[in-house]
Amino acid sequence: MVRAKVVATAMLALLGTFLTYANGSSDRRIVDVVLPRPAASNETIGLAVRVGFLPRGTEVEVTTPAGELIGTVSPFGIRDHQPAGTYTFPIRQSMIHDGHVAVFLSVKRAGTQTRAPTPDEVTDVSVVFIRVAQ
Amino acid sequence: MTSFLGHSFSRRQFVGSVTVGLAASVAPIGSVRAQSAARYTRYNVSCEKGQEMLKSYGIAVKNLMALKPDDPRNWFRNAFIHTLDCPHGNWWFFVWHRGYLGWFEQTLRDASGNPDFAIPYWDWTETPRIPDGMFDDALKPSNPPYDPYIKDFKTFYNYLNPALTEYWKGLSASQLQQLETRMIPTLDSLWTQVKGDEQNGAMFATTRYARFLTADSPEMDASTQKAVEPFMVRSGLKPVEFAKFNSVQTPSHNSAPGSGPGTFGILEGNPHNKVHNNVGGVGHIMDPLNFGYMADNLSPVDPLFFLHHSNMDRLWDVWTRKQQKLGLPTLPVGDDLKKFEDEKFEFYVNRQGKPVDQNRAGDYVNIGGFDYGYQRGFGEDIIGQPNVAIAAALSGRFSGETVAGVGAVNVPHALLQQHAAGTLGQPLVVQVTVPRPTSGAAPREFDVLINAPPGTTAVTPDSPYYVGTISFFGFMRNMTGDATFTVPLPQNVQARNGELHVQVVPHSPALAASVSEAVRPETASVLKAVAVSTW
Repeated sequence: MVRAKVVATAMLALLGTFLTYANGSSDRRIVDVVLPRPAASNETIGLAVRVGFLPRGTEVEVTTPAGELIGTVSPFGIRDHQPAGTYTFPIRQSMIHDGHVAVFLSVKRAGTQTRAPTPDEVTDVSVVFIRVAQ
Repeated sequence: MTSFLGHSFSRRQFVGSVTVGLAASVAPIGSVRAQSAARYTRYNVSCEKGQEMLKSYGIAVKNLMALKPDDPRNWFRNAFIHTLDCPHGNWWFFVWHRGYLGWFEQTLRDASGNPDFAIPYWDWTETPRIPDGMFDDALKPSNPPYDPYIKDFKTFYNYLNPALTEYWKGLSASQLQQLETRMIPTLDSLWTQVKGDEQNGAMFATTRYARFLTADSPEMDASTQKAVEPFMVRSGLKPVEFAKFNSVQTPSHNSAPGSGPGTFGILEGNPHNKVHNNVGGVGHIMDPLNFGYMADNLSPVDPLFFLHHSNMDRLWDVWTRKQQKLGLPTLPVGDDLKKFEDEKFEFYVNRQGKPVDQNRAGDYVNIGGFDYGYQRGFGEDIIGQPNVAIAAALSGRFSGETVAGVGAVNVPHALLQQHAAGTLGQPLVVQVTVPRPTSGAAPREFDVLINAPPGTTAVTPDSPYYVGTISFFGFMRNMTGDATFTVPLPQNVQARNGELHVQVVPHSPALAASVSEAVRPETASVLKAVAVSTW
């Protein structure tokens, strides 16, 4: 598993074997994770998004740079000020380019403008390899 | 209304009955019976039989709403069982909801007057909108039949609080301890959470806001349709390990979701959560005090809850049958199994409204005495991968850790199961690394032992610990360093606490005893490194 710490908008950071960066847009954060290796034939790749406390009704949308929706962090049953947890989204092979997976993260809530997540809201993004039977 | 005089299962009957799905047919999606052994069938709500069940369901819901609130089977009282005890974001999610639905299904059957009733399932992958019929009468919580109970919070509180006050007085110390863990230490704190506030939202909703999606706009939104799409659901069914299929292991089923690493399984974290929230209006309604019931832990007030969780339970059954077909574990292995099965579920009630005797998670790992099966739905095609896929999934090399000559290798239980069954398709070997002899008088033959007591110095070939003998051929002065030998593992090899313990001792005790102190190893075993591998 390789992890990419999510950094503040417009920062550029090299962290070990992976690159994490964000553009200047205030409505999203870009995270680029380098895969440490290709998936084996008995593995699928997932993107694990670790989320801190989110105000009730708030969701985090995960898309490809092309705008294709990968999934949405939608907390359920979370109690007072608890972190929302880590959510895993399956990644298609077509989303991997030169050993990288780049995703956009946006915070959405009805009646408010879409914005980039704060470092406390999305605390970590990582690639996970999941053993499967095909 | 029926007499509600159904029988309850004894523990023996409950755990001893057939497991669903073992006889799953290969009929196409939409065919009628998934397995002939089950007494009841949970149909896809979109098919004709499912729609018939929905009519019975509507009758049952109305009848249970009419029960007095001091009856635990009362529709709203039953919803509070979920509020007080439901696990989310941990590995008891599927098994707890199986018990919750299973017991209440019997109550619904009695209340419906239909002796064949079983909760239909909403296969949102095939039907990403509220199913037809779920806006009718008591099947929609924003319809007039709900007004006498939930038209406003005061009405709801006055209706239920006297009964809940009495119920609270009867809770056991163990139940109260569980509620403490759950951060609901008192009845007042429960009502505070039900009423909610702007920051945290509310579990309660007035009739007007009880469900967000409407008959005019029944489609799930784009992000929810993404969460239920075939790729997502198949991805959730694919993991071969229980720990990856499920959400994370936590100290208690009452641990807060998201605590610790808080990793959700794909199926719980995506389709489960998104369907709940979309039906409740998350992402569409600005004021979290106006989310519908499905958006929080009082969600069983909305009858859709049971169709949604019937589908989640169906997917667990699909995953289980996939694992069985592959010869892979369907439950945690080693010490984790006991931790999983011993978790106490102490809030279920049966069709008589009494607490149930089956209060361990382990009582619900099989469908057992609930005796239902599923009509085939989305995901069935994942069952039945060829054996070659098993080997591909399990092949690999598992390095161990060696301390003082004893190596410990963590080997997947599934791999040993396949090896024992002779279906692995390739040999399973242990690779031991030992130092080369340092003199002509030093031992050159060694026995490889599995799971022998530490300090064992010698065994005979008929010993249960004996695996094989490795030999250096002669002694050459220029031989230095270590050598690695590969020895096939016997078919009956078993792990202890998930590990194989490996030692390598001189083959001849007499020879070993004759070795001078200078060259005798510090421990009986000379092992330096170990691995288990498919070969």
